[in-house]
Amino acid sequence: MITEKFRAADEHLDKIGRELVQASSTNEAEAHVAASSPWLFSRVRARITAESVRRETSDRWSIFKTVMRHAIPATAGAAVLALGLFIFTNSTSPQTSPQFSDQALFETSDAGVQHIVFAERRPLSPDEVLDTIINEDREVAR
Amino acid sequence: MANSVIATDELSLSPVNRTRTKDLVDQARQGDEPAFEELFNRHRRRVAVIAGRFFHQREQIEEIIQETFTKVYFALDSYTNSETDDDSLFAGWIARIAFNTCYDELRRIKRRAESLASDLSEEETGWLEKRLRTDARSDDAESASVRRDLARKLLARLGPEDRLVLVLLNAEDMSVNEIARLMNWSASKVKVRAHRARAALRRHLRKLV
Repeated sequence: MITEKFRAADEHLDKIGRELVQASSTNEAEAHVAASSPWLFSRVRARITAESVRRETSDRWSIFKTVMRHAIPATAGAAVLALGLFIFTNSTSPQTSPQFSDQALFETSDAGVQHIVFAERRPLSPDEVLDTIINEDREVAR
Repeated sequence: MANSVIATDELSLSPVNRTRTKDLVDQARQGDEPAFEELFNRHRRRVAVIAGRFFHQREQIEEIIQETFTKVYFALDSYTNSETDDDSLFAGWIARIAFNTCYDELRRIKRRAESLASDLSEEETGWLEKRLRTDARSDDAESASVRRDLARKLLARLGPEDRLVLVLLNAEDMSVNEIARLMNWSASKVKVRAHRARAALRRHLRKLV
């Protein structure tokens, strides 16, 4: 009984709602005035022109963005690859001894200290040069 | 869809006014401005009527007309030309763009709900109370004006989807399937949305009782 009463009330409200929606949507006079506006097509044309320009600019910008979207990761990838190769090469290449090349030191031609080939890249300190001279002198004294 | 409102400007004096829609579309695609203007003249009233279902100020209706035809211009390539030159097919295609433009605009403005009770005038409250008591509707001019104002205030409180569905169902007399095709929604979504929209409308009306 109560349910039926509620349903009847809902139906009545739906009916009023429908009537109001129809009333709100009936706007023929204003629509006719708007459609008859004398410069309407000119404004549409102007809008189309503006939209064309906007789309063109947007296209150019999107091309730039697409290029950048591919170029930035590619550059970053290349940089990472180069760094990886550098680290890998350094870790696998034979370690150079900080000692002097024995062959150079004891070479038969023995052209002197000035002809010694250093396998090491770093420059010699004065102490190391002094040690070398002392060692050589000791060898000669023996 | 109510075809009775598909209005065309029969009295257009353009030299291309007797050209078939299919040919006009083809010409407009090639950038022929008079052809596009003719299409505009043939369909602008229908678009204005659609816009008038949702918006009540002339400026708003004009805005919808402009936006719709701008979209039509850029979408002409996607329109599938009918060999049978079915003008109602093209009118339906434009109507779909117009409804979607209105829907976008409704979503954009997203009218904030205001205190409805304080908005109602004495006449509007009186009309509603009378209408709730009796089942009979009065169709005099004054009553119609009050009803229209009340309806606008009430509908302004609904969400864009609710409003769209109610207008399509009650004002355009469209079926669920037609709305589904128009909005690219599923039929069940339309049914659910219609059910919720009616419930929302009832809720707002009950607040006033």
